[in-house]
Amino acid sequence: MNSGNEILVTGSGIITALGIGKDATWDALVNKRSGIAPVKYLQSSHGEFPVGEVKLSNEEMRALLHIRPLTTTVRSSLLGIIALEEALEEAGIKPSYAKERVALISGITVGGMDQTELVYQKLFETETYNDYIDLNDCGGCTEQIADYFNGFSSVSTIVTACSSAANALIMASNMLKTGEADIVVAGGCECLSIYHFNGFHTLMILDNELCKPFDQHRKGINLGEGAAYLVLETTEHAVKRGATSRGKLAGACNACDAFHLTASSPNGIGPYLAMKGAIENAGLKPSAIDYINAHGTGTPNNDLTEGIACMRLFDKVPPIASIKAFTGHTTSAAGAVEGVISLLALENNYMPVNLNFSQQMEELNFSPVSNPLPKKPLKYILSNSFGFGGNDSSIIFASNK
Amino acid sequence: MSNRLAFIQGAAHISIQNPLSDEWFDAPLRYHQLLVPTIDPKFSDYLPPLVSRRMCNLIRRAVITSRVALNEAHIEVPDAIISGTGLGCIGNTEKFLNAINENGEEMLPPSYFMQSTHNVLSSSLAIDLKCHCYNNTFVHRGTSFEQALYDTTLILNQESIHNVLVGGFDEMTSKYFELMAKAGYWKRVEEGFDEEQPCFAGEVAASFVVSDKKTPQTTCCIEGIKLLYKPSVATFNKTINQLLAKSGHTPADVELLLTGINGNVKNDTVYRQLGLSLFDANICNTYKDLFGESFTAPAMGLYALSRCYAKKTVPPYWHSKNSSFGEKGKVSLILNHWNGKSCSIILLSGC
Amino acid sequence: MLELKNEIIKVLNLEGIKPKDINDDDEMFSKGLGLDSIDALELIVMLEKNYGIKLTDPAKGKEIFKSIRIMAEYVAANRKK
Repeated sequence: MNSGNEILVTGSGIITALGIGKDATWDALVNKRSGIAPVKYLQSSHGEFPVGEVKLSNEEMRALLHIRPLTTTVRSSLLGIIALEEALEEAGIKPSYAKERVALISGITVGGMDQTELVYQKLFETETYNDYIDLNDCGGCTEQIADYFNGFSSVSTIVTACSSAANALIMASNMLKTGEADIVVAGGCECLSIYHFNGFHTLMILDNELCKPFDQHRKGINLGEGAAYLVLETTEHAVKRGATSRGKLAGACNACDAFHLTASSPNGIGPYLAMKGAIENAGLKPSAIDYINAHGTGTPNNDLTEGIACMRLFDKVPPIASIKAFTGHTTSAAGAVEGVISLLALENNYMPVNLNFSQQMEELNFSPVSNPLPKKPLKYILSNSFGFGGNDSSIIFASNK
Repeated sequence: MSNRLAFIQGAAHISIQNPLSDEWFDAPLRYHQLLVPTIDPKFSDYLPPLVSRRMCNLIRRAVITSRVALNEAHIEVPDAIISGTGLGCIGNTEKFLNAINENGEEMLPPSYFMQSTHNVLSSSLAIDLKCHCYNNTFVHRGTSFEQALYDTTLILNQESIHNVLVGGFDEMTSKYFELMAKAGYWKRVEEGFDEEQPCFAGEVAASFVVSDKKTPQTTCCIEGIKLLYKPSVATFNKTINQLLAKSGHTPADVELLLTGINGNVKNDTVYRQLGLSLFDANICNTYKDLFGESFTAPAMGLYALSRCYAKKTVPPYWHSKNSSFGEKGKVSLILNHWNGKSCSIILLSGC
Repeated sequence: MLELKNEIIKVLNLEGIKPKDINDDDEMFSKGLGLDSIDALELIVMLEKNYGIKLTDPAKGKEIFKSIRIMAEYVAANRKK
């Protein structure tokens, strides 16, 4: 793609267990301060599993957003609104402009289940909870986010589990490349719910301690929650609008493992094809990648598959780290949460480390990053998001320089 | 959509009309009940028990309609798989939720959880077809299928993508039917079927093979597709005109309109404002009286219209401007909205 | 073992399979019935529900589910119900 038509990130926003906004997020990352803690807000009986909760109740988030206290909201939408607000503000996009000219694509899988599961019986027994019905499905949540900002030119919802937000970014990129839109805001949001907390528990992939991505003794995931959005536009449009570039989306690819609904294939064909495709899409060679923001959930299966795929693709695997022990696994939001973190890494020339690592996996020929200082300036970061159903996405972020 | 056109090469449905057939065209089944279940084919004719044992019926329908559509298109493995669904496998979601409520977060069955993630449809298709390519799922209420179709037209611009398997899939349980009745989408069970407001709930499984070039199997051409959110009437009509102009047409070339009018007053009122003012009322037709209302009902609208193009005529209960349907220079439109918020416009022509 | 086979057929929705089709010493995973990791998890849930046996390590499940005979022996030795 010629430099007149690159895809720029002109704004971004984030909220996770590390805090609200990019500054709080970055502060936690450089000070190696994990946001994983015992369950506080989620009303689950599985208190033995630590999680990456956003340290705000729904009521506190409504207050922050000046939403009237008893308004019917779902937690994922509240997270989404907070992150989207930061992104739109940074990009200098006002609501009236967004309504006419900006498309929104959001990834989510849990929908409004965090509320539905609490009021499920009452939904049938009384009329008092009917407002929750339209907020239960995924599109309903995205619309709640969109309506807070008075709407967008179009609103779409992608649901591919842990790669949802990454796929939202990919679709945004495709809309811009084909001239279908001038500006697209894309990302994702997901809150914790008893439903999927128990779902992951029943798959026996949760760790009852801080997770250990890429460690020989890893046991599983710490679930997290959060939201992040990126404002994407072409260089030409950003220049015309006088917007500042914070970084670039240089390439992307989605591929399918097509092996099993929850486990990844032994040879990692899906992750391999996604990473290879993203690198080719960016017009690069594997050797150009300076740092990999891994999916690295800490499950025996994912980290092995992802590791093998990396060894297959790279002659020498570049510095690689998972930040899941910082934020927890933010599932549908992960692709955008980690996209924002990748852009911060590029801006600050600093590689977020892989926390809680002590022993290299016997099947792999590399260890994840523990020294955050790169040997040369970071230019390209590859970010992986691999979802249930073998839905594998990789995105390459590039620095402005 | 850039300037690339998209062509429907194959299609199949399993719905509340006789499955995998076009009997609905001449002899549609007519319903006077509020919730109409799918008429399923004999699954074991298509799927060995050990393959389909863990699949809920919605996944089975998706797999079967996909295979039939691909067969019709003479394609073995598509270059991408995209699905639209409003609720996913809602039956499994309810089972897992009920299990949590009954067992108190212990001894829960993993299969139900696994299949309640909406992209289980696209993933199951990928596993069935051994397709490692682009795979996506859209879950956005009444425009879930159109969002999948829109994404299809975007990625057909890529050099490596020539044939996309795209589908719309939804099931309805009695429990969720009850909730949607409370939310005002159709009458409640106790109110009974209302001949004056005959909106009823159906289920959908429709698969299409959409390609970047015309072949002998092509039935029709997708000239354009637009998604809108809470558009004003002026914006909606302007978008229709822009879509027409982009493909070199005017409103006078529109020979048939398909809308989501379904007998629910609140729903239908919006249609009478959006877009219909540009066209003669006598070319406006409905499909939700045939296939029921569901989040992905528009997939059935597209299916039905694509079959009209294949036959070069419309069913006896529809009206188009011209006696011969789908002639060169003529187009048709499918207009859809959900709650007046998420809207879509699809422009089609014959080949 | 007949009871166990019937339970397995029910829990794993093995339509069309009868107890006599499952040999006591055949491998259940990779070969034979071709069960997968999700089936293993369903069997772990079944062990707890029916026999009060709680497994927290999925790897242990792999050993126990090697064959019907091995599974039956484990259940007989550890059942609480």
